[in-house]
This record gives sequence, C-alpha cells and structure tokens, in this order.
Amino acid sequence: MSAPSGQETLPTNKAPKINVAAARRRQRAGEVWREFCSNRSGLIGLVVLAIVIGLALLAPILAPAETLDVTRITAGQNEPPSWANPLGTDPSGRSVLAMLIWGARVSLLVGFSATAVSMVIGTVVGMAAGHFTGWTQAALMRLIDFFLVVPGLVLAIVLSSIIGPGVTTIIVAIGITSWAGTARIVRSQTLTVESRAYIERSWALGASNAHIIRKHVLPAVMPLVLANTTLTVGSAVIAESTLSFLGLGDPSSISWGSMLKMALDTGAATGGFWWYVLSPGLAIVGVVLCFTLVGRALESVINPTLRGR
Amino acid sequence: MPRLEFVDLSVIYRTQTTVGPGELTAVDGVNLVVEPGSTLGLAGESGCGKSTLAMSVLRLLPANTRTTGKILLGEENVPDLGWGRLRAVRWTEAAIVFQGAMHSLNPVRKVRDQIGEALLIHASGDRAKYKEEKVRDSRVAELLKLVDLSPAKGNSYPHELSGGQKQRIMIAMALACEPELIIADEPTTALDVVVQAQVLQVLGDLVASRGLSLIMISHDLSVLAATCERIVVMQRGKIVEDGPSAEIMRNPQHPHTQALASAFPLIGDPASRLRLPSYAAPEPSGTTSGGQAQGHANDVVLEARNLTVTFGGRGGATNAVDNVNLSCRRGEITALVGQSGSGKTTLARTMLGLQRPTSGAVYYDGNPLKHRRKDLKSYRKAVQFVLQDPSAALNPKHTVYEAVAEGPRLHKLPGDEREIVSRALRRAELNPPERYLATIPQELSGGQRQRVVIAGALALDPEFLVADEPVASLDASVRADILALLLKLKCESGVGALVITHDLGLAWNIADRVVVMYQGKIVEEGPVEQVLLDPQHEYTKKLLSVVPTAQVAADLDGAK
Repeated sequence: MSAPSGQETLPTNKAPKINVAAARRRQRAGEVWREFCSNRSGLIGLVVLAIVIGLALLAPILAPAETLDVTRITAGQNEPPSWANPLGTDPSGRSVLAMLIWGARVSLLVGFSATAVSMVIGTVVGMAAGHFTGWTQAALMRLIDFFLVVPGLVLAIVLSSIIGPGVTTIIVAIGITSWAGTARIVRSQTLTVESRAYIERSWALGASNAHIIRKHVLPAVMPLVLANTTLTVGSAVIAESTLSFLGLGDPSSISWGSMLKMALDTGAATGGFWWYVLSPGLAIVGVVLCFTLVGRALESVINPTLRGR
Repeated sequence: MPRLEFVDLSVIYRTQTTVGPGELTAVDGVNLVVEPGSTLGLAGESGCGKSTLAMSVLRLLPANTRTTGKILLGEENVPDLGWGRLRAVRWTEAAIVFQGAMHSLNPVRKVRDQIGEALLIHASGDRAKYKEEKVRDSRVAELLKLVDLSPAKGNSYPHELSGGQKQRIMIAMALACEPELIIADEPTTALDVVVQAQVLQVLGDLVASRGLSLIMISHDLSVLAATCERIVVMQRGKIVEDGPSAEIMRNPQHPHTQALASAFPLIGDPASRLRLPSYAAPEPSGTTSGGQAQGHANDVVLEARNLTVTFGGRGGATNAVDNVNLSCRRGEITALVGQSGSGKTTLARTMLGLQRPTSGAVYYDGNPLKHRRKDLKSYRKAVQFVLQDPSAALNPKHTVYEAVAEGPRLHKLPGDEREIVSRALRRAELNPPERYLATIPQELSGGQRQRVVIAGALALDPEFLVADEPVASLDASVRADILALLLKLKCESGVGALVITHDLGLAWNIADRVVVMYQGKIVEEGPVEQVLLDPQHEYTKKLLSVVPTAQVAADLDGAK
C-alpha cells in the first residue's frame, strides 16, 4: 500500500504544508498497515500472494521456456510426481509444476487487468450515477441494472466469440461484465457523502461538478473501491479460468484454466492422472482464497463496524 | 420522601487515547444535597460532567466508569445496592426524562405500550394491580392527561407526534410509577422556543402540584431560572457556584457563570445590545453601526422579490417560502427569526442560489440572479455561506489549510495562496494561523471549527454573509465569541450578514434589523429595538412571551 503523493504541484513556498499533509498521509497509511497486520488471516493471505506473485515473476528463471518446449523434453507422458517432476508431467511430457508457474502469470495478469478495467468503469459510473440527478442518473442506473441482470459469463462468451479468442479478449470480457456491483456500492457511498453539509458549503463556495467529485467524493469512495478491488481480483481469476476452460483463451499461452481444459480434453481426469487435474484446481482455489482473505481484512480496517463478524 | 445526597462523588471514565489507556475524571469530588420537594438546576457546558452526575443517581453509567464516594438516596447508598434492589429503585423512587425524546422512544411500538412498560415491570406490592391491562390502560390515560395530551394520543407511534409531544410522553413515562425525584436531562434542548415553553410549563406545574423533587440539567441558565429554585453551576466536573436562581441570574460570582449568563442576553437590556463579553460595537457615531445603517438606508445588497419556493410531496405541495419580499442592506446585520419549519432555511438557500425559486427572484446589487453556474460564480464570491453545524460543514479528510483554500482555488484568486489563507484565519481570529494550517477538523473544538468555516467564507473577501443558525450547535460561552466575531466583522470590515436564527436573544445581541417569519411568510420586520420591544404581530408577541428571560425569573420570584 503506497500512500498517494501530493496530488497537486504547488509553488515551492508551500513546501512545509505539503510535507505536513504527506506526513499525515504516511501516518494514516502506517495505521492502516498496523491494523491490517493485527488481522492474522489477512496477513497469511498477503504473504501467500506475495510468494505466488514472486514465483510468477521469476518464472523464466525457475522454469526456463525450453522446459515447456515439447520438442526438447525428455520426460515421458503422464508421469506421476517424482523428484525430477514434483507434480508429474502432462500428456505431452511437460512438467506440470513449470506449467503451473507459467500459468500463474496469465491468471494473475488477467485477474489484475480485468479488475482494473472493472474498477475504473464501476467507480466512474457509480460516482456519476450518485452525483448527477434526473435524466443522467436515470439513464446510468438503467445501464447498471442491465449489466447486473445479464448473466456475466454468457455475455463474456458472446463478447469473446465476437472479438476472437486471446488474453486481451478475456480481460475486456471480464472487465465489462463485472463492474455493475462496484458501481452500485460506489453510488450508495456517493449519495451518503453528498448529503453532508460540507458538500453544500463547497457549492456555496462556487464549486463545479468536477471539483466536488474530485476533491470530496473520490477520496471518500476510494477506500471502499480498494477493498472491493481485492475481492474482485479473486472472482476475475475464476472467470478467467472458466473462459479459458471453455476454450476462449489464447491457445498458445498456458493458464490455469487452459490446463484444466487440456486435462479434460486428454482424459486426464478419467485416466487417473490426478496430478494434472488437482494442481491447477488447487492453485485457483488457493489464490482466490488469499485475495478474499486480504479483501476482507482490508474491509474491516476501513469499516470498523465489520470487525468481529 | 427521600433526600438525595452526593458525598464526595467522583466518576472516572477509562478511555482509549493515542498513548494507550487513559483516565478521564468526569465528576470530581462533588458534594451536593437535594432536599425533598426542592427543584435544582444543574448548569454547565457540554462535557462538564452534569449528565454523568445525573445518570450516577440510577447507576446508568456505562461499564467503563469507576465511581468513588457516596450517592445517598434516602438511607441507601446507590453504588452499594444489589441488582434486584437497584431495579426496584429505578423509576419508582427516581426517574429520568432523557435528552432527545426523538431517540429515546422505540419507533415500532405505540407510545401507550411504552408508558405502560414501566408500570408492568414494577407491578409488585401495592402496584400489583397494574398487571391487569385495563387498570394499566386507565393509568396511562391518566398520565397522558397529566401532561396535557389527549388519551387518544396513546395509540400513536412516535413518528406521528411532534417533538414537544414526544418530550411530554417522556415526562409521562417518568411519572408512571410516581417517583419522588425526577431528573430531566436537557429536556428542551432540541425543541424550539414555543414548544420549549409548553414543556417547561407542564414540568413546572407537575412539580409544584405533586411536591416532587426535580433535578433539571441544561446549558441554558434562563431555562433553569424559569423552573428551578436553586442553580448549581458545574465546570470540569466540579461545582463552581451554587445559589438561589434569582441570585445567580442577577449577580453571578464565578467567571464561568458570568460567561453562561451573558451568553443568553436579556432582551431589552441595554448592557447586551450590540455588546458581547469579548467585543462591543463602537458607539454609533459617523461610520459605526447606527449611522451606517441610516447612511446606507437605500443601499440594498441582497433582495428577494415575491419569492416563492414550493416543495411537492405527499398530501400536495407545500409553500416553504410564500411570496416573500426581503431586503438586506450593505454593512448591516439582518436577523431572520422564526421557529423550526417556518421556511427560514429554505429562504436562505434560495437567497444563496442553492435552491431554485418556484417564482419570484433574488436580486443582487439590483440585478436578478441567474441560476446558471457560470453566472453564479461571481455572485458566490460576493455572498458567502456559514453553515449551522461546523462539524458537518468541514470535510473530515481535509486540513484547515485545504478547507480555507478551497474557495480561493475555485475562484483562482490572484496572489499568494498561503498568504490569503493566513489572512482569512487571522480575520476569523484563529491566531496564530500557522498553528491551525495543518490540523484536521476533529482536532479542533466546535467554536474553532465554526471559525474555520467563517475563515473559508472570508477567504473570498465577500461583502455579505448568509449564516444559517451559526451558533445553534455550539456551547453557550463559545456562542458569545462567534457572535462577537460576526459583530466585529460588520463594524470593522463592513461585512453585512443575514443571520437565520430561532433565538431572539441573538438578534438583540448583534442585529440591526429583525425579520420575523411565520409559516413561510414574513409577518413583521423593522429595527431590532422597534420589533423586539414593541412587537405588533401576534406571532412576534408569542415568540417574545416564551423566551425564558430574567423577566420570567423575576416574575416567578415575585409570585412566591
């Protein structure tokens, strides 16, 4: 968690004030960090996630690309776990562990990017739907309602079959279908903030819509969005696996979802090659669980009334 | 009849502070005797420990408190009572009228059942007959009559009653088991003046006719003087002054009492006209208030012509503001007086361009106000807003610097921003400004927060302020300081103001002209002396008659 640095560049003679504001922000970030650390499950989730992210980043070193080149491998097909291949091999003789490490890259990339798309759309639309009234709000709300009731997966499948398979397709498909819930949450928070007297004061000072949203509403909804982000990453990872499993991902890159698809296609599950089915499955469950733990912990730090529930 | 005595009572709260657990002494070695059948007023600012003292009588304090000393109710020491005995004592020997009737009643139960609850709980011994619903209902009807409500009101839910009616239900509830001691914790604070007078009347009559003991808590000395024989003033957990009401009102000894007494001026008393403890307007000569007001008699800054604001809602439209004509002159403080619901806040918001009028228009310097944002911007620079509750009017995430700089940034004022902010803070008497720049609102007191709001308005260098109940949510002594600031701004910088208030004393303190509003219409207006000393309209007379002033106290004194 890095505290945002000074949002505005001010002339140098205001330096002391900026330092004070930055110090206050640092102090607040420190408090959030300490409270987060006191939540054991959240901390465990964070540590595991850090390890997974580290492994994914180090994939080229830990498992050089050659190990996945079918033309150069020496191991046999569908070998059970051994010292050479701790998680066994797949039907082409590739190491499942190496595939898992490479797969983490795609899964996490899609998880984070799709979440970023979803959060940006959700926050912007949510704040707009809460801030504006009348026709604009009505139109935005119907749009949100549309995306809430349309089954996300079906829409994503339709989208990816239109755009064509690939990682970008999956990111866009997940991002576009999963923002409606966020928008609802952000809108309700916006409505709460906008009923405060300081918004009235700001209007009386001559504020514009942009000023109210940027200076008062956005900082107030940000903590909520952040907590929601970590929860959404989990579901985005699942959605990615689902879409890859359905064959809508990039066939040339390995992800946990595409590993499961291959396992099904090659009859690994029925053939008793449990290591090929279980590994990506458990990896998905583990990562999603970690994101959920971190998200819940963040939520309880930001919203103290949730503590102890 | 029991006698209540506090012997060297201290109540200590264990609190969490930034440096770990701390202790806060709310009541500090209080010795006090309440004789049977006497009425005692407990005065002091918020946080002085007066409510804690009252709650300790029935041991209603939260779990993080520690009590030392004795609370003798009759022969028994309350802290030593067993749980069963304590429950029996609660409500039957002493009962409490809680602060804020709005929140102390259960919204999903009929008020009749809520009054009956106390009877049912204590239906033992000679009150065993209340186990029968019929007997209980007739007792509830009797209680409702006692507080001047028709028994049919018992079938209402709390939201169907007005604030004053709810407060009377609370009093009926307190009387249910015929206690000999009633503790009223700020029973009228949230009510407006007319209703406040009714509630005090009911309470006073009951105490007189039944010979009850009454402990009444308030921060408003005049309210206490109107109902109590004796007043005790508390500050920081200690009793600083104790004496007969008339004596305390007429001749307060302790500086804190003096501050409390002067915060609620006597209307008609020249000593408080345009004069506050910390600032007095210069004598009217040449450029000062009186002369200025006459000199600029036709210099109207802000004007409402045939202004009507209608709100649609269930049961048809309501005219919150009904064909109002109002003019505010340059360098003059106009007080807009009326009780809650009279439309005065809507009028203020419309004057500020925050609310569109249904018909009519607001004129600034003779030009009608347009409601396009671009057109409003220059108007906003000239006419600024001071809000009612300073705690809500400041973004808790922004430092004082950011809050004050918000206006200048929006209007891209030329010059050094830091200099503008410092000057505004100095004008709002936050000295030295450097001390406040980096603080956030929660680190400031209520009065300081209101000064920050005023500084935020002053940063734009406006020529007129619209202040909506600027002191209603502040403590008595702080109230005087904020009013002094408004008066000083008028006299020294010529910043005029439209001050919206329900408090006629405020008008007497600082205003040049008074406008009385009733049900969306302006019923009377004119110079302060004329309107307040010689009211013409029925409603103004009514408002003046219920303001608890020393006049009332003197009358009571004479009657005894």
